[in-house]
Amino acid sequence: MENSEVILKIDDVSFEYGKLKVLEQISFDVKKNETVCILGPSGCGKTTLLRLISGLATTQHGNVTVSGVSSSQGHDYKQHLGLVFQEPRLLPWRTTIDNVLIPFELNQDKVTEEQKEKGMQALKLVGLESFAENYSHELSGGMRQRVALARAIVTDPDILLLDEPLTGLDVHTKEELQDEILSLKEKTKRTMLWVTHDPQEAIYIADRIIVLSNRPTVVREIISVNEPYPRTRMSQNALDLEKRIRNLFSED
Amino acid sequence: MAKNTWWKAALAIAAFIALWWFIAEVSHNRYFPTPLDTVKAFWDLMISPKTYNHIWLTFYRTIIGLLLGSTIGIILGISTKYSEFMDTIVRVIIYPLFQSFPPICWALVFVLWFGLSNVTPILTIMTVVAPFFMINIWEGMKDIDDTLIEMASTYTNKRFRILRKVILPMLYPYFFDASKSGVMTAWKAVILGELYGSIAGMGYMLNMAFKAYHMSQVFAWTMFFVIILVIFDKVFFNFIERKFVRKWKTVKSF
Ligand SMILES: Nc1ncnc2c1ncn2[C@@H]1O[C@H](COP(=O)(O)OP(=O)(O)OP(=O)(O)O)[C@@H](O)[C@H]1O
Ligand SMILES: [Mg+2]
Repeated sequence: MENSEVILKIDDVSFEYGKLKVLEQISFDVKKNETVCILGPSGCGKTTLLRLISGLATTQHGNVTVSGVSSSQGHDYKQHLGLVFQEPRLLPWRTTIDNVLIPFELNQDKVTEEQKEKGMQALKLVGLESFAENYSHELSGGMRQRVALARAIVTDPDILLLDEPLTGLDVHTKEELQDEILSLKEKTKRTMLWVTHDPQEAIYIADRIIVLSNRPTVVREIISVNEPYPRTRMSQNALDLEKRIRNLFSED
Repeated sequence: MAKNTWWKAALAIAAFIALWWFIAEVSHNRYFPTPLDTVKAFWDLMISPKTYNHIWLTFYRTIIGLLLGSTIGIILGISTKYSEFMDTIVRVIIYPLFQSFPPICWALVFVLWFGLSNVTPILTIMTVVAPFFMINIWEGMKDIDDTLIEMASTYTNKRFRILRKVILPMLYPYFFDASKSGVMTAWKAVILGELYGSIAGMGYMLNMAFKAYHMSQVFAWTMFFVIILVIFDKVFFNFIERKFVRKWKTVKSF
């Protein structure tokens, strides 16, 4: 990963809600093709950080850039991102494929044939091409989250942001989707910033783990997971790492 | 309608007509026409081409009034989402005022201001239906799923597009409810507006018949009025509801 291009740069970012200090001088970056996990206790400001990165909120201090474009540049900046929330957030009156195409429709009058093709391609990547004409209430929770994933990658963003995307799902679906997202990442050369509160998940998927502290939140440690993919869950290395992370949290 | 409710409905209508006839005969009052007198008057109206001019005029006024009233109501309703000030104005002043002001008072006010013209019935309808749209859209705006708007905002800064692609579709069921009560109310309000403020149209004809003591004609116009209303409700709205609205309502967002 050395010497490779920086996609996301978080530079000295602080944020507060009124008197509540949430983030304090957070700095890190994500390089091309990297999967970086943000791991932190509940309420430490992970979602807040992702909102700042996705341009839903504006930084009060510090800078966020994606591919060299500053988050203060609003509309142009947003073209570089794909975001998956904890819930799928599908539009219930639209079919699966029309949900996947919504990022295009929000920016232009008519979706081109090429873009429709991209939409189907994205659905294929998440294994849902045969559900293109179904509505979200006809899909399972895991399938809905797959649609959300397809929607997030359809515009071919420079970085994919995921905010605890698998939290609501059962263990089986969760692990299945972890593998799928990893293989999708391999196939499409994605760069990912993945928020989670689950150390095992972080160890399984991440190249690097950014461990955050309790509020006011600072970067406590950045851990590199030096293990090639595909990984084995519960390997000795994984268990050691998990122990190390749990120790970090219990110091608080 | 299921098979066995057909004859029940027919029986109810037959009973109603029988009762009407009975009372008309017994009261023996020339201001209480029998069903036969009414049907005769109805037939006379039906074969007269002028009748359709009046009906068309009333229709036309209703539609213009509805368009104006719904547009104003929708704009006011949506504005509450974007402005605290508008929210307060709508809740504290506009809605209570329009809601409680009797339609007949609007009609009278507009007659004095605009005289006998198209304007009076149209404005009457407008003021009467606007609150329906306003309150329904306002409620829709309160129930809107903000997480979907947030999702859309991660892809664009164009607020008008978010409005069109995400917010308005969420409001369709509310818009449908408003249209339904709006049309019903407009159809009643137009008669009031025409009764006092116009020299043509169904309301005007009703008034003429009334002034000439032609009770069977009054009844016949009322029949026209009711039939059109029922057609709208049972045919038009039922069709839309079956075809579109049910899908929207049963489908919850995930
Ligand atoms: N809009 C807001 N106004 C005020 N305070 C907020 C707002 N949003 C979040 N907070 C507070 O900021 C802190 C960080 O919230 P945030 O949602 O970013 O945490 P999180 O790390 O994502 O938590 P979780 O693991 O539960 O998702 C919390 O204490 C929360 O109560
Ligand atoms: Mg969160």
